[in-house]
Amino acid sequence: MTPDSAEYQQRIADALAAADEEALLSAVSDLLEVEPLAVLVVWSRFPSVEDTFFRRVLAFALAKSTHSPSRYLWGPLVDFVSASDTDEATLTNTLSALQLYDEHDDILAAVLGPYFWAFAVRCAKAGRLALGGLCELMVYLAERDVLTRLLTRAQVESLRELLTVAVDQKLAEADATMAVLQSADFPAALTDGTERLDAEKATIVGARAIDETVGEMLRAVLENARSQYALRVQAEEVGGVIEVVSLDGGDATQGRLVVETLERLVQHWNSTIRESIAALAPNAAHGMTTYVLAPAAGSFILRFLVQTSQRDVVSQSFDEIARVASNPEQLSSTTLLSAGARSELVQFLDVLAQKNLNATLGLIDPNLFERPRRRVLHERIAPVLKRLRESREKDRIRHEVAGTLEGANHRQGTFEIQTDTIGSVKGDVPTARRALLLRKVIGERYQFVLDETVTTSPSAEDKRQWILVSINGAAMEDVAEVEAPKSEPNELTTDDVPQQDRLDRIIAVVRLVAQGEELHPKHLGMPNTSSSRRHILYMRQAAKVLGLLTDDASLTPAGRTLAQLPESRVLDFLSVRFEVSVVGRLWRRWARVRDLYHLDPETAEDFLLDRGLSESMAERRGRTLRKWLLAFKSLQK
Amino acid sequence: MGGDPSFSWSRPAPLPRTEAIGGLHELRDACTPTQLKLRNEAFDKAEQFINAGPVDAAPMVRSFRNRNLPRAHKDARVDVEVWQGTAFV
Repeated sequence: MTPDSAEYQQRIADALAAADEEALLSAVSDLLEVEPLAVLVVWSRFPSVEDTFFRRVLAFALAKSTHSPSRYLWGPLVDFVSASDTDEATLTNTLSALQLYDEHDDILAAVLGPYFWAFAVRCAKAGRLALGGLCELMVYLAERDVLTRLLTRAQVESLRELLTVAVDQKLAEADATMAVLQSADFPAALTDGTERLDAEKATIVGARAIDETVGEMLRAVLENARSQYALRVQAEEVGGVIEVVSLDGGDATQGRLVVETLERLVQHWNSTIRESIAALAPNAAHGMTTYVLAPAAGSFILRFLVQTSQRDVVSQSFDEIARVASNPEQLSSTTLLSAGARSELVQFLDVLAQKNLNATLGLIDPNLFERPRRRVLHERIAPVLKRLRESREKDRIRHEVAGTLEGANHRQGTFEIQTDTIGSVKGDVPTARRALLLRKVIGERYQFVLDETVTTSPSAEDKRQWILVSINGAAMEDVAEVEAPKSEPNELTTDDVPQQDRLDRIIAVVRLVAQGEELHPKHLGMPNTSSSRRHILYMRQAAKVLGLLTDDASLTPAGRTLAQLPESRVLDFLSVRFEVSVVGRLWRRWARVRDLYHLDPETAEDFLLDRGLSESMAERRGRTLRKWLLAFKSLQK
Repeated sequence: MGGDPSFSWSRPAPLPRTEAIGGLHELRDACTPTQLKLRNEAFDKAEQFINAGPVDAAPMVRSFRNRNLPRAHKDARVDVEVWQGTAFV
């Protein structure tokens, strides 16, 4: 029988379809008896199967195949090392395969290099079996002089910490591994394996002689190894991470995709990233640049290089987006994604479902141990989206705002106001309340109570409707004092200048107060120390500067509004609060500019020095003003 | 594989580690002095591995070798394979 016989493939396909583990193992082992290299055929025929048991059996077969003269096995080996398997038996089998495979050290080191560290960390964390196997392998690779081509100095440092567990457990070769990691001369960076990869092109010709598909898969692995290396270097250079969306199924399988589909996927994924990061850390999102990298030749792989000072936030956001995308049932229950991010993600998934496309989501983070990868299947998305479309939810948010009445039509029941806090609002007045508009003067300031009705549908933008509940002129005096000084301020005291760089912290404090929670460090995820308590005082003071809290840390109307705003509008709201704050007004006047968008962030310290703050205080608080302004100005982009 | 000496088992209940080590010792004792010289460390490590059991994720293979084997004898090793179920309880 030939190794690629239809009979074996059919048995494997049937076992997979029936989820029959025994039949699967039997089919693969029978195939191995016939021809050890048949594992190449199985690997190339079923590349997208992510079933854990299948992966385990395939890795087992791989280890068993390495007995034979097996120069082509580095293709599946690299595939296993670069994948995100966390099953301990699969990892152990892959370790054994690597240990047993002794052909082509050069090519193996070149193609494994970009992935080996992440793989080693996954093994070290998986459990005793894989950890022991890792120690054996490392010693073996060191003997063969390969290890120093697989790990950098910095990677070795982090591995040594993880391997102390192996020493504690007295695993075989644990001490020897630590000694190797201690004494060997590891490079600062891995060398590009391009030269060796080029030389290896000849291998593909040989592999094609065995099987055309195998040859094609090996070619893809070579290309991938090169591009992975280049991508990591790019991410390192700009201080960012790369999010990868690989498409298959539908038209992508035929090698064609409508341009508009690609454009929509790019647009929605980009918006999903931004919205999600904005919810996790507003500052990170607004200092972020997203690039779309040129798709890899011959494939539909969208790569987004996210340049950011907070890689961990981007990675955290990616984890949640990918988790929800691969389990779309959790779309409505996730609390880590903002409404805006959810809405964009749903639109992204909708495009996939409409076009029968699947996606594999991956992340390349030069600092990340793991190499996360998740599959998104269109068959799974479609029914969930259908259910979500049918369930639309309405939220009603009450706002108490001060503002100027700019237009009103008693007969038609419409109004238009320019508020101090939430911008321009146009809305309706129910018939029974239209009398509220009588004897009101256009251009006069009033205190308004408004109901904002948000109709949320995960598959579309939120829809908002504004209803006027009341207009109260009498309450204006008190509120106006808190909301914004009527007269132009002249003096700047230290109480007017914030010393809390992170706007997300201020938002968190305001939300805690709105929930009636005590401002205790533990509620803000901080240790209960005097330093944390001092920082909370800075957060309170910054919230007061923005008119969100009063002296006794109770909410102002603006604070109440902030606590109810959707994430996507929070930064905009804070920028208005800053613009009308004492420090915002004085800075604008000092710089002779009309609005904060014309302020130069680099002048913050000079402005504060000019206003009489001490040098150290001007330096520290100038930094806060600069960071805030940069965040607000990013809204213009 | 093929004609390599092996100790295999197949039964409804998991293989106790004492029995597995007994089987391993039999294999070791069947080796010629030259074979054993190339595998003595591998046998020790395999025994340590079995003693640390149980293994309950199958199929799984672990391979053990002596350190610094001469190139001509690089294939000398001891493999432990669990094809199904749990072993070394």
